[in-house]
Amino acid sequence: MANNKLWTIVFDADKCIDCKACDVACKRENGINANGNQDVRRNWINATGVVGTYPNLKKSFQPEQCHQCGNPPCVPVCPVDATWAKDDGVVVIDKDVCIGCTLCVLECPYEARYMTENNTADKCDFCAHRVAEGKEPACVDTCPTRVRVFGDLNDPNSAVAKLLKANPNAKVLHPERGTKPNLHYIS
Amino acid sequence: MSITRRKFLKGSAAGLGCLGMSSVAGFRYVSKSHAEELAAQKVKYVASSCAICTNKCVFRGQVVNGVIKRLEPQPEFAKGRGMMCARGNAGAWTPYDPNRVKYPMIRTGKRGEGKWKKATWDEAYAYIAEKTNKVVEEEGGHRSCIGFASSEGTYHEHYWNQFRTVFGSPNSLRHATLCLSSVIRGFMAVVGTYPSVDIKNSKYIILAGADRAEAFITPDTIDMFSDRSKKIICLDPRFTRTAAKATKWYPIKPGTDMAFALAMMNVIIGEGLHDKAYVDKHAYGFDQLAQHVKQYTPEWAEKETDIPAQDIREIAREFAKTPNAVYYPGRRSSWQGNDVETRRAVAMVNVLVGSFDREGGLIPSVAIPTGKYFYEPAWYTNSRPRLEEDDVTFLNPRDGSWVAWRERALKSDPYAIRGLYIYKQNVVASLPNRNKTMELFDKMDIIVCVDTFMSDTAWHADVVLPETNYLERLDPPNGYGVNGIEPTLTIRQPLIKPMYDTRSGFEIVIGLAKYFEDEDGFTLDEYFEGDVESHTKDAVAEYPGALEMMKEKGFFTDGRTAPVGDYLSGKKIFNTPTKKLELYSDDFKGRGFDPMPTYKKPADIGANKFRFVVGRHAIHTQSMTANFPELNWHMPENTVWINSAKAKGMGIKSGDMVKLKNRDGAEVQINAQVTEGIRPDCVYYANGYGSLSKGQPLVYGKGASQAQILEAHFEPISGNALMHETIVEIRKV
Amino acid sequence: MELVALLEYPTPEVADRCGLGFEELESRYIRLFINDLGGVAAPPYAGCFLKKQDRLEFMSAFSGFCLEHGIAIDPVQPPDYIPMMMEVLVMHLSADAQREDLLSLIADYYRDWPQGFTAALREHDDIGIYVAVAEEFCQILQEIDAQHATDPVRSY
Repeated sequence: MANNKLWTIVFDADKCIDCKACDVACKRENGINANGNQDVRRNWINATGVVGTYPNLKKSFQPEQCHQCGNPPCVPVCPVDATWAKDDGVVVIDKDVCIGCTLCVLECPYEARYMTENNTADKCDFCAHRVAEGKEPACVDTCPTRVRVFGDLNDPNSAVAKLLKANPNAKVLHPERGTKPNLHYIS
Repeated sequence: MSITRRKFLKGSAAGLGCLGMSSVAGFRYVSKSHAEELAAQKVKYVASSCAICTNKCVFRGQVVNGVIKRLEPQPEFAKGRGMMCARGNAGAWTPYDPNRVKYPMIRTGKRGEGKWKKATWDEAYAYIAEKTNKVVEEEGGHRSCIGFASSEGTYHEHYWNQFRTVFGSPNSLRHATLCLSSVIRGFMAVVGTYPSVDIKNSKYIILAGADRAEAFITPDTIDMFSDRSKKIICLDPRFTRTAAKATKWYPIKPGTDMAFALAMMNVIIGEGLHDKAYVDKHAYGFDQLAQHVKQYTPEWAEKETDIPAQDIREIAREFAKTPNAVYYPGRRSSWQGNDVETRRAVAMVNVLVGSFDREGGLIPSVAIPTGKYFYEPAWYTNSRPRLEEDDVTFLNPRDGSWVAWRERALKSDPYAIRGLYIYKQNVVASLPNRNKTMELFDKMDIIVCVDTFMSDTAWHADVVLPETNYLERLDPPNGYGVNGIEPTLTIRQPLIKPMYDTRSGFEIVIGLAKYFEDEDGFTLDEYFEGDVESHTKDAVAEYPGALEMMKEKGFFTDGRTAPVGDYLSGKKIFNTPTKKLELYSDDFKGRGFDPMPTYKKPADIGANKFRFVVGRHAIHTQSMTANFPELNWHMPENTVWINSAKAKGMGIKSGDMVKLKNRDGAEVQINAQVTEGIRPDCVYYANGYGSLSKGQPLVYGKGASQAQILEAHFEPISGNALMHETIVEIRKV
Repeated sequence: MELVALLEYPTPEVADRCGLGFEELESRYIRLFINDLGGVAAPPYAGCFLKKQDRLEFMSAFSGFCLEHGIAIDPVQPPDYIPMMMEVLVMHLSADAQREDLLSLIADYYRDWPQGFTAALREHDDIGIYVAVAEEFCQILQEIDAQHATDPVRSY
């Protein structure tokens, strides 16, 4: 178990300037054509919108994508076993097996999944094809302000492990759902 | 008129048979490939640099089976800090966009009607030359009757400029006076240069306008927002993304930035917080300035700026006491009539605290020199000065002043302009008061447009010449725009072969030049030597290994960085008339301008009127990108920002259609976006939308155009257009 | 191949055959296929009509297919240029490719977009020639499918 990697992203969302580089890089790297459909995206920015009354205003940005949950609710609902978590923590989808029932899309508490035009489910897979070559996901390496740090949480010397050690108040989203997500936010 | 299938396609019933027969002869595109082609790598990386904005970030282009897949960051390129923004990523699509201009085209209908025929390059050149030579003759041989517009970003603009020079016209119009001419002039007048900013080491930054979270300038944008320990004071009429990230945001009243800066100086000098040793040694005119700013108290400034006096006082104190503090110069300074003097005031605040030529402050840029590209100038006996020569004091001969020039061209004063040659500039969408641009176009006998997309400008031209896409092309190395604190030379090299019948800027110019002669009868192509490959080699001949480094990584650096302190130590001399940092300018006084920035209250805009302000978004570069599908996905339409309280009073909700009308009577129609995030007396909408065509996909006909609503004014010191002097009325539709 | 020729830039002869002035035909061709402010009506690139696949991916895959099968395509056009794709199909047919290869070629690279291209032309081609060409091509693909599907050798 300890020999397995646990791919993780740590976010310093306070640095996010909502520039959308992560979205476009992801679509290019993974060959996704949204074709104007606003549902088609593997990552997105949660923007609070302008909060407060003029001139005392705040606005914050929080990037998000599939959390590659340790306890993924999307996996057991699939009627054809088209989705599962790999040993390294990344949850994958076999498009050839998927029958397009949309149950996984509906089940995800983070709304990380969407249906493609081919009527199969899709979501972020931490650019598994890049990680296999020792590279970082596209959203990580393209970011102007380095919001995301990617690495193996099982390696105590990794940047992600060190960041989480230095930031004990780091949070995850929707902890009450028991999903054990692998996206951590230090701000 | 419908033609039935069977009638028209001979042998169509034997469609299958037709294909089954060995009509292999006659393949236009397909052939058996050779072993070398088969060995083409499945995945290869080509280093090059982006052309979508002024930063020109270097990337590693991933090409799979000969098709561009993604433009990945180049971590070793210092200025880009190893990132690629949304626009840079979206660039991968651009060579394949079906809307690319693919062939030279000559219009067959009326201008703007959309009727074109495909031409060969020679046909296009001949057509251009015939029309041009005719009007030049009608104008008594004056080449100056042709205006040449262009903007920066490709090395090939140099060749365009060379063509203009050897053709013999002084009328060169670039983008600078739609952008930053006034900030350059303002800073030149005080510190003798337009410097870079050492944001990496800055601890306290005052950002006025300069929406760096959305108007990317590398590495400033990256350094500013990736280190959250920096204190940022944001002055902006809008609650931009920069404002959202700043320590504190003040919705400053437009036109009053000078008041803020003067009040800062009042506090800093009045409380003795300035860097006395620095000012004593390096500045000229301190005593006059100290006396001058006494009147500009924070209490006074509060009435002008809407920023509380106590805040101004505290900011001034903290700014002066924090080491490595900088009042950011900004870039696009085409705001209002007092721009040059406002920027002088900003520069002076920096001087008072010793922030010029110091770490964390303003650093004079350095560049890596390239081998000079030399060409013989052409001589014409009856040359005339450029049209607007008398209208602007510090007129840059290459940049001109667009608004002033257009005014004169419309009146043919002092002489007529008969043609426009436009390279990489979307004139119709970029100049304020679009109606006047169209009026100007109507007066032209010939309009040539070199572009890569069917922009509004190309649409209204007589001849459209397609340039190769930046991903298909070799651009010789240059420092252009990539100078600064960590200078490099960057190159562009092709990721794929050029498609369709497009040519690089150099090839276009050489081809066109053959059709023109100088006064001695030599064709103008004689003035050009070599080609882009040879120019590339020559540019870096003095740096061993540079060419190889550029081919491999996309850039060259010899590790040099901007020195800090050379001016303070006396090693270098300040580039000002007094050879000191000027807090008082005898030069300005001599020209009839204020020797020190002197505040003039902006005119009251009137009740129920709004000032239209312009701004930027991280997903867009001016009018270029709104039609790129992946960027358009994030903003399919632009909407006009109206302050919530104001909108409520007018009965306007988000999504309502409203009409804006400016003082010239120009109107636009656009959907409203009601927000807390803008001053009640201002409105704003994004650039690049709402073209002249109706009912088309993506942006055309969607939203509204900035060029249509902006009134045209310019200031006479630098010639900068004034983009924040547009006053509009709004009513619900 | 006749179809390919008809999709090329019109010549006066073609204009004559359909009883049109050359300039009329020419400006329509340009509006449909080459350049129009706001977007060409029927871009002659297969990937533009694929809703289910990203166009850059499609081009890369098709280009890879051609490389693997010893077919050189002209880099002067994007790999999914429709006349060029038609020629690739012809080359396959005339090279007497295996049935399975032919059917998988069509399944992988000639699905959906011919119909999309035809639909776009139906909406925007007011002359009718180009619609006819596109419809004919769809018909041809159907006939190839049908012919090979009913082939007794295949259905074991």
